[in-house]
Amino acid sequence: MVKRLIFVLTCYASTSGLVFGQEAIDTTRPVAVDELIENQLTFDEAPIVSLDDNDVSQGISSQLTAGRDPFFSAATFNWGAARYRIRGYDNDNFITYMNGVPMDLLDRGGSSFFLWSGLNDVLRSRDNSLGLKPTSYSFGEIGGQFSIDSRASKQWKQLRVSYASTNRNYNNRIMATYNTGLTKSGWAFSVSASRRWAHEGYVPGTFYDGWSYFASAEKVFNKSHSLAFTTFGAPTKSGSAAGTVTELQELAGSNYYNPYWGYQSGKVRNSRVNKSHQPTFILTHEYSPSNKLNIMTAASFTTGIRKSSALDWYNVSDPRPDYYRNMPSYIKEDYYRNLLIDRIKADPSLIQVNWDRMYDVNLNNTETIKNVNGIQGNDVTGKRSRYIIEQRVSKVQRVNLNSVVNATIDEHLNFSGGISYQYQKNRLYKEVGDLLGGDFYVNLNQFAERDYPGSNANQNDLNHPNQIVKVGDKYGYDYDMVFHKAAAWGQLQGKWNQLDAFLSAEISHSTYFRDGNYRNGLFVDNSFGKSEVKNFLNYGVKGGATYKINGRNYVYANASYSTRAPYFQDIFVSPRTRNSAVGDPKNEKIASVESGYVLNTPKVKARLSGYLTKFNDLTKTMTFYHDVYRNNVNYTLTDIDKIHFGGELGIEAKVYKGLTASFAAALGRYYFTSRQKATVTVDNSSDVLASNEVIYSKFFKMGGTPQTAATLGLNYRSPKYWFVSANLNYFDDMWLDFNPIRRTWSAVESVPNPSDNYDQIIQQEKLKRQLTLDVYGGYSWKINNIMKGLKKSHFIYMNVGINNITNNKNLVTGGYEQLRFDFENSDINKFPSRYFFAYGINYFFSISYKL
Amino acid sequence: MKSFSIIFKTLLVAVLASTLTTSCIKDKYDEPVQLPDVDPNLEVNLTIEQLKDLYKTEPVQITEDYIISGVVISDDQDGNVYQTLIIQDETGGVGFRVQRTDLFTDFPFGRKVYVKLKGLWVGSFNNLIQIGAADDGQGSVTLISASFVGDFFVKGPRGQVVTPLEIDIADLSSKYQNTLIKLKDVQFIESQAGKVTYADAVKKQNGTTNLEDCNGNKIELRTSGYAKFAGDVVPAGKGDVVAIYQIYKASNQLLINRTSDVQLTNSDRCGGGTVDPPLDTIAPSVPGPDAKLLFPGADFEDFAVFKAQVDSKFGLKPYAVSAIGEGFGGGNALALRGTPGGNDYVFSILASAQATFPVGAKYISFYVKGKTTAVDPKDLKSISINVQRSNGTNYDVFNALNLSSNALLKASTEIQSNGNGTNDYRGVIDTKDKWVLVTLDIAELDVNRTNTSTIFSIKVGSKSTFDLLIDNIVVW
Repeated sequence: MVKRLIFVLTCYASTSGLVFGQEAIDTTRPVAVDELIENQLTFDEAPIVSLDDNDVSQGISSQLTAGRDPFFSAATFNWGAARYRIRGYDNDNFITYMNGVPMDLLDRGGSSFFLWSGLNDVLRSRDNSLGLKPTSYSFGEIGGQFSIDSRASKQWKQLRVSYASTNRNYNNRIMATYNTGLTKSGWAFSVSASRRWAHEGYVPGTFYDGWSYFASAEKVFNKSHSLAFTTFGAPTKSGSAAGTVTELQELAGSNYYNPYWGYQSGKVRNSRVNKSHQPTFILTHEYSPSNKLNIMTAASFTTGIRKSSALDWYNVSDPRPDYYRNMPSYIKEDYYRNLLIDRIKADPSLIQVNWDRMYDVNLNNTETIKNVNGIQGNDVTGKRSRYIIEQRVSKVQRVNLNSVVNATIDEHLNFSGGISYQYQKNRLYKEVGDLLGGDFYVNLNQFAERDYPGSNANQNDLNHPNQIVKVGDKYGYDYDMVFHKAAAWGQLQGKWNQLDAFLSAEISHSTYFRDGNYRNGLFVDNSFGKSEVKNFLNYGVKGGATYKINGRNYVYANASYSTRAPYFQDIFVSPRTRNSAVGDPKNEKIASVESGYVLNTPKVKARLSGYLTKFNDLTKTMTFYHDVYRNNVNYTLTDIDKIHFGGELGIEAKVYKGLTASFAAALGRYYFTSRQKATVTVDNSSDVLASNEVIYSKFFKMGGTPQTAATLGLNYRSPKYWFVSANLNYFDDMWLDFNPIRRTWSAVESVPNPSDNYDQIIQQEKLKRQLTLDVYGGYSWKINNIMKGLKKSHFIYMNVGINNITNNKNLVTGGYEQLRFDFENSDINKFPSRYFFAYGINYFFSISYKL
Repeated sequence: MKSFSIIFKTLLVAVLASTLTTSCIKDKYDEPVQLPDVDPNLEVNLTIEQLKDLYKTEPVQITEDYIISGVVISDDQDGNVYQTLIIQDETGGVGFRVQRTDLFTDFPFGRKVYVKLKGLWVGSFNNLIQIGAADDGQGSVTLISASFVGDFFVKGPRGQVVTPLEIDIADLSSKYQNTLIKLKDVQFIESQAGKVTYADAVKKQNGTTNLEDCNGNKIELRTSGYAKFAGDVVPAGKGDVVAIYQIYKASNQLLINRTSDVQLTNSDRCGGGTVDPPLDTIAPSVPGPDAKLLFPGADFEDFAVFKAQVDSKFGLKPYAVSAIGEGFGGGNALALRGTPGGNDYVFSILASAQATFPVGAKYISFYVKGKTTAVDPKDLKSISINVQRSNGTNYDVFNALNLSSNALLKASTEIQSNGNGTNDYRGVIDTKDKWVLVTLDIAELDVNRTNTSTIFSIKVGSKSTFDLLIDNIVVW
């Protein structure tokens, strides 16, 4: 299920300098980023930061940088399979810059990795910085900041072609890159393209079809002046997999059971297909009149779409095989329940999507729609689709402007600072993806029709009543989210003989609003047009110091305090239908401290660190379909406070000649420290179902990441240009994300206490700890060694990694309690939890040729 | 060695090209087409009457390989029939309890169906025979799970003609249960006719209404609160009703699939009395009791208040003035006295000024008194009224045309390409110095209930001389 398996091959090789003897820098790295991007597309809850170990030292030799940090390597490569998140942080606590512009998403934070998916070859020049450390290009987030420099002049001159085979979310990858390097004329060009595909990935019913392209041209006018233009994109299409319930996984005999697909005329078809393509254009100007001053100014523009498909239907039964009423457990009579179980076991297609039946319904459903588009007497007769494929579309336009200055004040002091402006507009709407045999669909809200019969409430768009829609037409909802953000920051950094210290500050102003393109029949006065504009003023300060005991031993301590605007989706309670928002949204407050010890000797590298971070006043809105209300219900949770603290250890030691041993461990505790308050609303009504209902969430653990993880690794590198390595990984303290509804008084009001049922309802599920084993090997072949007389150097690299070699298929990497609760019978098994599993044994093999 | 490089590159290009061409991921799917219905012609060895006779005093399981066939007479599309499939043959009808709410998709009204009965149970719910999956322990049977519908029901051809049995209420008896019947010349009882709804659509509670024939025989009509038409008012007239006949204990009941099966179109009721024809066919002479002024100042008592509601974009034409003491029933009115040069907007009322409509508002009404005159008869003109739609841009049009008595106007059905109705100023107004009520039927319109744009405008035709009083613009 989970493709969070990260390929590593050469991370240890590069951490200790020379790789295959011939080349210090260039190794084949099927990079972590890549895998993560794809995962983000495939899974809703994207985890971790995406990082890799590509590190070009940035001149500050004072301390290890993240890329060469054994802990960091483990976190990104070895623990990816378990969806380990650094310090338990969400994505929005990390930020990525590309060629001088911030690539964060203003709507939900975090970086848009999918934009550059599949372009590993040209994204190797990076600066990774973890935690609260200062960087020269940004104030940063508390988790870390990463800067990718893909400008043509930064690309090594080479031609490189590679092929990879794997059995993960795709099966094949080809990639080709050509870089000119900086020519004598001052120009540099770089082009790269790749394609990854699978007819069926690891999980049944998934497919993958991803292309990527990249081009960069740069003119270096003189020593102090360069201008680069870069563009890239990754048109990608893939079939999704779902987290599912144990009942169906057992029936299917597989933890990778995927309810999203079914046979259509005998062929596998996935109902949940993701498509995205958002080309990005970046113009980067770098000006450094002296080695004491550098000003980088960059502008970027991104435009394009992301679509994800799903089934939609109008007043007919729910066609999803994992809908609880469609599962055997819903049948009361033992005889029939067991009969259905037997049938499913004999014919597993019974728990897959039944496309042919949906076609049958649509093909035979002739209806007359009256007064189409609100025009009296305009009646249309045809096959009205009752089942369709909807596309949830997000159409994005994003502009980023950023300018950063780095100035050397004197031999000790450095100033960095910058200003930025970001604009983003997302238009969100549904469009008809496939009518499944019918002639049209009608833009009506079936839920409102039921709740408010005989009125206009069922009109999704009163401006076009009874609208008939066909493939490609918008329907359902249609609104814009518009964001503006301006920020400025400054940082003073000092370096003395035994002490490094820094102090930095940031201030930002952000605004956003909703702009409805539909006049919803339920919210006539509050859906069409612009909402109130939400304004937020935020700031951050951080500082820290490193004491250099000697060239090999360092101690450091950093601290930060910042505020952050809440996200659009968390403030607008039901943006699909109306402009209503949390009245007085609070800024989030984040306080973080970290401290550590670093050892850096030729034989041993180690880092031991500790951190403590408090998040206060978070706001979050969760939306889910509630089949009693027959509607989307929104839980807006406020006053969320949480704490993350723990320790990190990474050691790498050269044991004997080419043999290196490594160990990394993360021991963290991430949990909520407040009782949250829930305000409950429904998409189809302005009624507030509950206001400030207390959620007994104190001390509940954060899900979605192991809070304890460790890896033990051995790596042998032969002077004959090959290496093998193995890692044993351990994951523990993994918790299921909890459903706040079950932690309310109303959920347990009628349940005897103490009782087993009471405990089941309120307790949080802890997932079983797991062990996995990964092995890697690689070989580098310089063709010139055999074919003497070749003018240029030709290389062939081969790498293979086999992950989860013991084929452990029980590693739950995540999951959640369904956001439903059976208040009537207080039965937690009516809406059981859903789980994702890490892949069993899987491999990645690549071969590349470099000239 | 240069040749090596060339060979290698050629090889690479070839490999790349070939992988690319074989890597096509297709996302086109063969689409199922509509198949003609086939009749499986299963051998039928039991009649529905015989099936019902299997029930004696308590639920009994069918252990023989019995097969019945019949035609579907229930339709759950409008939500009145719920989790029930009713079929009938020449001997009678029977209902099956099925755990599905979209039976119309597979078993639409008029489809021939075979039922393989073995394994099912026959029970009785207060004397109504039901077939289901198991004994429910309370005398009747449980629902057949959706997953097993195909085990028992075999589809035959659609579109079978079902002729309801014409029968008198007095002749109904248990043997007709779950068959489609037609009651001729029946009406809802006086206290309900034209007054109550089929059920309570707001609280989602079932409703009971009563039909009677001219001999005083009565029968209940039961309607689900979840039916799409639950909130519709029952008709007042007399006529024919097609329904599924059911029994509950000792009483007779009717269940309708849809309101089009209730055709009470004759306005003569039993015993010679006539009901007022439905309001939508005659012009009211007074607004309903819950009528409200459409906007502040719509009674023109305080002209300044009225003027404050006028959209300043169009303003108020100079020939529109306050008529003190000339109002309907005394008081003041609005007078139009002059000869417009063009087809003018006399005024447009801001949407933000509109009142909260009474629940179920269907009409806008106002009183008119006076006449239009012209030297040249071809210049005689009338008034035209625009009612804005909710998008704020488009509007529907009501044309008064010739106006001499109370008038009920319907919106113009001539829709222009821009979506608006078409103004038509032809006609002459002469109320013979009496007040007449002009009523606009807005029940089916998408009236602008927002706060933006305008809601209501009065227009006049050019060149004709107007001497009109207008008063009390109300919504009801």
